[in-house]
Amino acid sequence: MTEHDELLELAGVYALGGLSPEDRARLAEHVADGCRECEAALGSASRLADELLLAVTPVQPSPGVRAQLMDRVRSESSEIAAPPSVPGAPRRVLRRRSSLRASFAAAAGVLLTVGLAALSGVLASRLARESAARGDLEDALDYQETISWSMARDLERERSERVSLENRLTNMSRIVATIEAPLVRTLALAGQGDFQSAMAKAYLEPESGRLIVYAHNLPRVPDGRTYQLWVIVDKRPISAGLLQADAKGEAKYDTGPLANLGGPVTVAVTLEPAGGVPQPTGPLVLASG
Amino acid sequence: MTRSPVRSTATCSDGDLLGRLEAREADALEVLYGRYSAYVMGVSLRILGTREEAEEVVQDVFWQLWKATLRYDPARGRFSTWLFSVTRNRCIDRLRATARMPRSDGDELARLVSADDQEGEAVLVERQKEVRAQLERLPREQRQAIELAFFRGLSHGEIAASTGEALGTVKSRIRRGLLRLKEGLESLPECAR
Repeated sequence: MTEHDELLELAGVYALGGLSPEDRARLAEHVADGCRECEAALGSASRLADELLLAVTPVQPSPGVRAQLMDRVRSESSEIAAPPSVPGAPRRVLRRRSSLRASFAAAAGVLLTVGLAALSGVLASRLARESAARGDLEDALDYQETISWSMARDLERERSERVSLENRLTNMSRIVATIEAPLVRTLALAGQGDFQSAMAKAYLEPESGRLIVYAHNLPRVPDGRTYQLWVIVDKRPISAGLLQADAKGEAKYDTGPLANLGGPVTVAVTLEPAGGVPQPTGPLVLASG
Repeated sequence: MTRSPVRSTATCSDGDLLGRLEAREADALEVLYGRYSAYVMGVSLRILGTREEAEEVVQDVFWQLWKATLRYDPARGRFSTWLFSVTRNRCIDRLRATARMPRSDGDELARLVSADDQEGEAVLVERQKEVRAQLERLPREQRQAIELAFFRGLSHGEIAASTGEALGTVKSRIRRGLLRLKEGLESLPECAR
């Protein structure tokens, strides 16, 4: 069975309802592409579906439904058709007129009323059309606003992602620049004590004083504790920041510029209370040789 | 000489009445209501199941007709069938909005076939008999599948789940049932309005 044959079958049952959104979309696209046969099948099925409704047994609605509907209709009609009233004025004029003039005025009044009613009818009709058109425009506007809002949201998300990517790119560029710097020193950090499986590599760039550390196999930190990075210069430990390991026990840390990294330096990691401490107090986790 | 708008309008064709409706003649709406409200109510009641909700739909459909937010396109066929189709769509929308599942065993059409005719437009009543006669000739399972799709707004997948049949079987039953109906109805003269 070709796709057209399949869609032709769907067209035959479309008007009955029940097609999946995917099938409806495929059929709509196929007909929009110009398939006359499927279009004719759609029309035929639609007429058949209309006929099916005739099988339903008519049931009289309660009399109140008609009364309520017509009250509503006539109330709306009278609101639209009612001419503006000028209290007092017609009465004063009529009192001064002869019976002939009064009759003429009455006739003219009838004509005016009929004319106004007709005009009101025309205006009401135009108003109804314009209201419907305005409704369509409002729907279209709502739709456009929805689309605009959705696009703005997508744009904002993309902008945010772009900023995030730019930040990551800047960091990566900085790390690469540090690692590739001509005077960079590479230090291997070995696991200590109960942390034998842990290991790390540190890249030290003396000129900028930057230190980049990649650690692996770090055990999950206990609650209330953290890994803290130290740079030890002349036997004096300087805190270089806190390491945060991911679920795999890996951590990457860029210290930013630090001072006094020109001479002999030891890099170490200890386990400390959360938030870090000014001087190392906890067990040694990693240390360079 | 006095003229009764209702009396003179009552014999108008649907097309004339719709023209008068456009000119905001409330009498035209009243005549259309008298002519078709029982059918609109019948369709609504069949789908929604409660008089209260069905009457809300009747009120809404005729009000929208008056407000011209419902617009009849002669290309869609007769006004009456278009009106019933609009009614059905509104009812199905209501069912879906409240995520209601069918309350019946899906053989409403079989009961329709044996239902007593009520008074209504003579031409419609005649066509109604023809449609019912054709429905009566359908195998029960085909009628049931058509009923669930058309009057309950169920997807083919939902019908399959509801009846325990394979999806392909449901599709095939609907297609064959409609084909038989179409052939049967096309062989009959269409009522003119």
